[in-house]
Amino acid sequence: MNLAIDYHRTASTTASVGTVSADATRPRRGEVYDLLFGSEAAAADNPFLYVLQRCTAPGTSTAVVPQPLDPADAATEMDAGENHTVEPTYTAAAILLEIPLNQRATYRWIATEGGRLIFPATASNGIGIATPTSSAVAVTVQAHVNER
Amino acid sequence: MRSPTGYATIVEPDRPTIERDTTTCGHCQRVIFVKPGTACTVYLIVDRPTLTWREAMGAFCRVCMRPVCLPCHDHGRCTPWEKMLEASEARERFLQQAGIRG
Repeated sequence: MNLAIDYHRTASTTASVGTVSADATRPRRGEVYDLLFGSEAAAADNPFLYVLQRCTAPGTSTAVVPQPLDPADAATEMDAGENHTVEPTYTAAAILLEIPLNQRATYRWIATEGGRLIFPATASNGIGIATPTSSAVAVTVQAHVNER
Repeated sequence: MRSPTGYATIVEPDRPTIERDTTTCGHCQRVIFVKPGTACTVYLIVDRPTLTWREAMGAFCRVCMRPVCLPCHDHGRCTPWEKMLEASEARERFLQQAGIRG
């Protein structure tokens, strides 16, 4: 099933924007196939670096309910969170996407069938989104994820 | 690029829209930006200190016959990401069957 996940936070160099991960007790594989990064803050020139990195534990965050794109789909097992207070356990060097952006810019990445970012059906394994270089302004990330 | 596995667009006011084909590392699934017209032989790499793009020679694994990112190329061994997923899930199944998890 295809799901939309919407993350918001005031960007921080030390706290992640959000995570999407397999459920801790009923894990399923997930595939990120569409990503949108941007800032809804008042227009200004600030440099941002967005990083997607694999994680093995999602940390502590505010829960976000992934929304099925087809309302007829059953509830998802996938877990998502935003506004982290305890960082996810990132896998060293397992960076999947790194994109430098000006705050005024909006970035979209779409994967074809063979290029989706897949995380395993392993408890709490997933992908985190961080802004290791940023100003403290509001940012939004929209992720579309397929749960198998 | 003949068969890209992704497509990136950057829209910014007062600047031309940037559109780039991307490919995915066959070993770690990292998204790699490809210089247009180079058929995946030149990568565009983010230079972290300056947050700018620099060009680097592309890399290709002749074991799994896929483009790979530069850190995986430096690693020098072929471990396709499908194999890593299977290993991770097999470990999960073992932990569940052993009653250690879930």
